[in-house]
Amino acid sequence: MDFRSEIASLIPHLRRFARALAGDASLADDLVQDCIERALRKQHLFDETRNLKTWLFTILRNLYISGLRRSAHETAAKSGSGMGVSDDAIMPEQESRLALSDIALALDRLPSAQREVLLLIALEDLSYREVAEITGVPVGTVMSRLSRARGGLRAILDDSDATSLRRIK
Amino acid sequence: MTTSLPKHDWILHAYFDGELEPSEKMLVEQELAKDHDARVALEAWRRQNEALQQAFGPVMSEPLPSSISAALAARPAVVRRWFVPAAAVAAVLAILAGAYVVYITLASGTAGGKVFADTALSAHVVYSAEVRHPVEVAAAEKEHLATWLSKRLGHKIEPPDLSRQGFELVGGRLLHEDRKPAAQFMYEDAGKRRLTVYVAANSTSRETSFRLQEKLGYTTCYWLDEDSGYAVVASELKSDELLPLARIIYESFEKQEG
Repeated sequence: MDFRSEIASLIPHLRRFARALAGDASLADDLVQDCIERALRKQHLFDETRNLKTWLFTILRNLYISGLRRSAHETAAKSGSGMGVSDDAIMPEQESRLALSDIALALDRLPSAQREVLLLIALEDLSYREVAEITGVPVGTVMSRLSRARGGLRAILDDSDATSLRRIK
Repeated sequence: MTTSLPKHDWILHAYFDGELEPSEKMLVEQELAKDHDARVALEAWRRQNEALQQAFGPVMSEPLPSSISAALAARPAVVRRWFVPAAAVAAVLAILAGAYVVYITLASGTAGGKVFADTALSAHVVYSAEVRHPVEVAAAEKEHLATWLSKRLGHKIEPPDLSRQGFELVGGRLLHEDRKPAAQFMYEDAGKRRLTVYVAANSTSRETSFRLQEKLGYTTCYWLDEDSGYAVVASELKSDELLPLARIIYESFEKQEG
């Protein structure tokens, strides 16, 4: 299989991971598009003894992180005086949340370092070692993030059950 | 493996994620029979996985947006840069023109890369021999070094961390190449072997994969990316030692570029 067809065969995985990571469908597909463009541009730097899947996930994950950093800068710049810092950022997100499932809401509340680790392992079924490679941290850190993510998800989901019950009452 | 977790907890995760050897798995299963909380945790994680699969699994079979199929079908920019003009000429001079363009591409690309590698080598030879002033800004002021060089080079640049490979950062300096700012980071291992990483604008309009050059007792590994050229130079490292380091350095810069 050539490089392009191999990438094509992995697109469904990239899209699933991006969707769960970014939460928003069009943002996720933009990430996948950027990832593919970048991978094709950097093909000459791909080490063929390595796994293409982890390489692509690494690119996508890095694009997501640098996008986060950029939007954090923009939000900070926009808010200027520091008044109502995150109003702009939170409002539209909350609206779009209405259609999302509980698990997506819970994911959204995890710190992104924990979210990416959980998704790569629980959704994409990658090994701890592969996840360490993708996120650039030692395996021990992957495991502690995973543990915190699973614990956090349980707490959030339990909490939201309680909240929705209260709301019904 | 260092972790702040209690051993019990991470073994349970590793068990759940299929990371354990068969013998370890058996031990965990014996423990599980006696541990109610652990069984509850496993059940909760299993439900989490299921919920994740249900929420995001369908994304895999959604029709592909045209933006993604277009990205996949696009020819890479590097090829286009050289071969689109060639195609116009080829309409007239078919094979002859095509062959000529290929020849030019190869010739200029190799030459550009070699010039770049030589500049990096000269900078290494001059500064790695310095005992008292090997760098302008020392590793103690690493953050200042990164901010300053990022500002001068016009893009984010941080010295890659090679401490796990036994190389500690000594510091860095501002240099110039082709009237533009360039940067050099210097590293040293316990045996006082020095290694430099050189970064400058890529003025060759050409990209290359990893290239190795052994010259005058120095080994240089370099690669040219879209906008920047990178070189790793060392005198006492052979290519099989230098290449893995170069890959780590490449990945580190890749991440910074985002």
